[in-house]
Amino acid sequence: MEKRRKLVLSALLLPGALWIVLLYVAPSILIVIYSFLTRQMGGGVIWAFSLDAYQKLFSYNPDSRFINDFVVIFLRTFWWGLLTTFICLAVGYPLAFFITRQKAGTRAVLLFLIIIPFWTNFLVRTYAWKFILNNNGLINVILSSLGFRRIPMINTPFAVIIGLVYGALPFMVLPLYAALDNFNYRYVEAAQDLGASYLTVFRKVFWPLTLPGVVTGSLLVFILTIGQFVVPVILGGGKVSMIGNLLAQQFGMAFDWPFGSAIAVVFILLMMIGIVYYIRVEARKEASS
Amino acid sequence: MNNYSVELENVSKRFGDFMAVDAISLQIKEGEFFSLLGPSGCGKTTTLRMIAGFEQLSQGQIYLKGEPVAHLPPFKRNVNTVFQDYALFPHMTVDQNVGFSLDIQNTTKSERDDRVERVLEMVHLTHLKDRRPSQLSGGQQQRVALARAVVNQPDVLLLDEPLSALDLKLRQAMRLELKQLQRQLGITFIFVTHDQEEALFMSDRIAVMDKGKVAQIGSPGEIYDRPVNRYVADFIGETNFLECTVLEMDQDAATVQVGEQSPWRVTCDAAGARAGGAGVVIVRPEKIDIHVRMPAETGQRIIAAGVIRDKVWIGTDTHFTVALEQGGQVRVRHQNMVMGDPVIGLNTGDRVQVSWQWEAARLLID
Ligand SMILES: Nc1ncnc2c1ncn2[C@@H]1O[C@H](COP(=O)(O)OP(=O)(O)OP(=O)(O)O)[C@@H](O)[C@H]1O
Ligand SMILES: [Mg+2]
Repeated sequence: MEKRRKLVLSALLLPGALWIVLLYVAPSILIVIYSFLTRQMGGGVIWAFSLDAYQKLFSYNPDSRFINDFVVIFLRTFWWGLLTTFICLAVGYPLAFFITRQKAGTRAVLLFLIIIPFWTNFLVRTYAWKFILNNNGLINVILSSLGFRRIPMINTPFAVIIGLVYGALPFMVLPLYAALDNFNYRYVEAAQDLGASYLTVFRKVFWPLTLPGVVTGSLLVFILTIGQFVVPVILGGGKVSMIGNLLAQQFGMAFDWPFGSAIAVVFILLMMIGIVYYIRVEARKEASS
Repeated sequence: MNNYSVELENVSKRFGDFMAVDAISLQIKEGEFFSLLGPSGCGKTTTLRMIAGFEQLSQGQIYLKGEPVAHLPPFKRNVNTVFQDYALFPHMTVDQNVGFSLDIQNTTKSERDDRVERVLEMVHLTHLKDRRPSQLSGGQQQRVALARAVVNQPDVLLLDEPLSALDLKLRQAMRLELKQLQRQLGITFIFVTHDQEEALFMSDRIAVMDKGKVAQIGSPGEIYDRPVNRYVADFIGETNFLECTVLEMDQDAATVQVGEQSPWRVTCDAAGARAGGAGVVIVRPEKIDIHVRMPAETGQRIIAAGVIRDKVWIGTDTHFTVALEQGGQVRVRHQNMVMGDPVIGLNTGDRVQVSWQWEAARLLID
């Protein structure tokens, strides 16, 4: 009986498992293998073991700002990821809160407005930003017509960050909205009743109870952002790259597949370390309660 | 100014066009166990929420210890609430929940722990202090809510049907415990309930509410024995109503006639009662005696003849419904005290006499 149940259960799980293996595990294994092979000029790999890719990735370059240009790109990507996450949180939390406090009709309209941009290609929307930030763009035209000096914005890190925040904001707002909408305001009343001021209520009750939404939104935004490569190209003018650009370059123009694979492997490893650490902290929190 | 713990002066709350609370005035004494009693939707919770500060007043003023507080936010009022659904913070342990009000003040760690410990002991929960609310039973959550609300010694404790989520056994045990706790703490309790038995059992005084208004305020005895109108008489306990005509009015008594029979004497302090007008006589079922044959010695008793329409035996009591010859019918609650009591042998269709002390019947006008 027990055995039969297990059999049925496995049969039910099979399609899902197959799906994951085919689409996620197999390509990942392929990438790991490629990263240890030899480069073939003009694309592809030669099936001979080589550590060249990793050597290249970690070699010291005295001309670079830090170790070598690849490491600089890694650091910049993570730093921009953090910055974007933080800005999205700072903008998204009050925004999501504001939406939850509206009447049902208004709320639906506002949520709709947040989702609408998804109906247009991200590339197109990013080009739109180019027209806003250009030297002859919307902002600068307005500035100069008001008699101010034009501010160069396009092709700067500032423009890239704007684009990154713009692209990721809905992914912050939607989970936050879900968390804030689920929040039971009876807890706020209870805290106020016991003498907590507005700030204390936020700190001790509101924030901790909406934290799951914050974590979900932040993870989504961070992961999405560090994988970006469209925004640095269009709004950064290709002057400041992120890991995504580096990868695209290796597989596209440079045709160094093992090196591109090595970058991807290191990238995935770093992410895995972060996620495992997060899970362990959460598990410890669970255990202590 | 005065020494009331809580005073409501002409307090109203309007939701749109709807008057949820309509010009209520209450004066609640220091250390009193005061209940707001009324059916669902009569405005009990709204009244409580205005005292706590969660709801703005549409009109009137609330005084705590003589100070007007209608403009103060909840956290500036020394009033704590035990919510109907308890509203325990799910992300905090029992200890953190109970200590919340102390943790946000500048209470020293040792004093904080001391007070939390003491109040947890009082509600018998010391052994569960590291649990989360989700790991507690309903009764335990209720105690935590209580402990959390009294740990910082508020002047007034507001309780919104705190026992309604508990099963009957636990509810009865908690009634007694709550009453004892209130005496022990000496805090003014304002207790909301729609359960009249609960209110009668625990309160020093009760305000019976009806559609946003206060119908009557008084001690449980007063409310039970001297209801001011039909609504209160009907809501509290079980009552017989007999339509009547008023023949004559005295100081605090009246002579009335039910049907065509000889007049009855009843107590009355109803304003608006006048000779010739219509009224209703109320008599509680347990105040009525039932007789197999005409009693020899009647003294000051009112006697009426009738026929048994229904009989229900429930062990401790026997309940009769008797249709009176002069019109109307009464329910009679007869205690099964004597073995071989001929009354218990009575059956539907039997002719009987019923009687009561004349003071047990009361004339109401509306
Ligand atoms: N925020 C609100 N908006 C509109 N009407 C409300 C609001 N809160 C309460 N009411 C109405 O006011 C009336 C009194 O409500 P309240 O909650 O005080 O009743 P209650 O006596 O506590 O009833 P219950 O015993 O069911 O808890 C009800 O008719 C309710 O529908
Ligand atoms: Mg209520």
